[in-house]
Amino acid sequence: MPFIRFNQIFWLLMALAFTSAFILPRFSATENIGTKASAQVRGLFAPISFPLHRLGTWTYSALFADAVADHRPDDQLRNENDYLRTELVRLTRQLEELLALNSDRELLGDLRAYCTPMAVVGSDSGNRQTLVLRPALTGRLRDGLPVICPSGLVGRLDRLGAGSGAQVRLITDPGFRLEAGFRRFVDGGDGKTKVVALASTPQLVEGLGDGRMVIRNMTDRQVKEVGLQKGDWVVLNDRDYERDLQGLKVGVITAIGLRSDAPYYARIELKPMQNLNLLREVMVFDQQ
Amino acid sequence: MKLLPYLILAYITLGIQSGLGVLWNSSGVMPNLVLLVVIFIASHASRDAALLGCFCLGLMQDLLSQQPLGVYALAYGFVGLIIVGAGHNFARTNPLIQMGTALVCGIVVLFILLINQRFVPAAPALQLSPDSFVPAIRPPVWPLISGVFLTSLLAPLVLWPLHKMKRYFAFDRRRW
Repeated sequence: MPFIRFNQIFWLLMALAFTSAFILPRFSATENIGTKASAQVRGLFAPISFPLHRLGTWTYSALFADAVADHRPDDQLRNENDYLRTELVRLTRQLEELLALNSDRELLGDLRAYCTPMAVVGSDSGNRQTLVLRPALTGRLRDGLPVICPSGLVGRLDRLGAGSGAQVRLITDPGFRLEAGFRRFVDGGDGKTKVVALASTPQLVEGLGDGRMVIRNMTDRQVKEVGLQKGDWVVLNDRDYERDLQGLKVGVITAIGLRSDAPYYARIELKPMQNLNLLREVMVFDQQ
Repeated sequence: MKLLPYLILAYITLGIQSGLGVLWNSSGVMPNLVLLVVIFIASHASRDAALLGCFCLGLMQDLLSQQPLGVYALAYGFVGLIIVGAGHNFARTNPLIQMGTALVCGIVVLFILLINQRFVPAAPALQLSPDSFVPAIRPPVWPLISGVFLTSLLAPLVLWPLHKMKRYFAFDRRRW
């Protein structure tokens, strides 16, 4: 008799799991159930996952990071550093002047004044692209806040738990969607470098997983008209994000081809400026 | 089976799986250490404890992942059923048996994950305009497939020390 009772309980649990995994997501109900539950427990694993995460980033950087292939002499590298620093200062100033001309917008200011730094303690335990942040006093934080780093947009806060760690859904996570525009640095002709905006309408960028993103809604003709090429920057141009984040780097184009399922449409692959899984700290942006 | 050692083992394993996720996600190969613990529990504990333990391990892994709640719980529940139903003594320390078991169980988990991804994509298809349509997005499959093989290779390394520590779990010898 006890044998039969446990069997019923077990198969009931399996049925509930099946319902939660396959049926409820189609009605967006599971996200609420799983979100609330996982947000409360994720931070409990930080004592184990945090040191291992640091060990993992160090190991990956030491063993698998791209080898430096630059064998130029030191003085040439120093000269290039000085030139790049000068260009950086000049471009930053150009950007400030352009923003000041726009009477509808405030000056950008220092984004850091609106950011809360949070350490990364782990990654997704499945095959998705997320980061687990160290538990902190999360009174000011809330779900959906953008997360950034010095190299650009990282993702959004997801599954925030009271007293527990938050989860960041990376922009490279499958299904993560945002709108973006294109930029290219060109020689202004007078020795100055200027930023050129390519294409007037924002395009849909989707995460693919495996550290990659894709744009699939531009026709091949549009791509040729705009003149997109490998190395062009993709920057945030999405009304769902705060005004001060517009223009934030999303990634760089790595390949342009045609979609296999729609030959007249282009498939533009891009990747973030750096491997987001190796981040040790991120900045949660909250302008309120 | 004692509850405290089980919880400690689950806590450590899930913490390791999450902490070392940076290596998995960066290298494109994703082994599943939790599956090896599931195999250990299912092959030693009594039937009821094994099934419930495997299910709960999957539930805990679901809470740490972006996957819909219940995917790994369902998968590990089936893994537990397979090992318990097979009736073999997988506690043997033969590395080949351990690798074979991990491979078979990994394929079962992979199958369930793929079915879930097929019916519940990460992002649904979008009709942006009458002329523009983007299909649904699903996570890449190759890391899962390569992870199955890597997990089976790691099975002897993980299961052997667990086998040496089985006395701390006080498994019931009368399994069936």
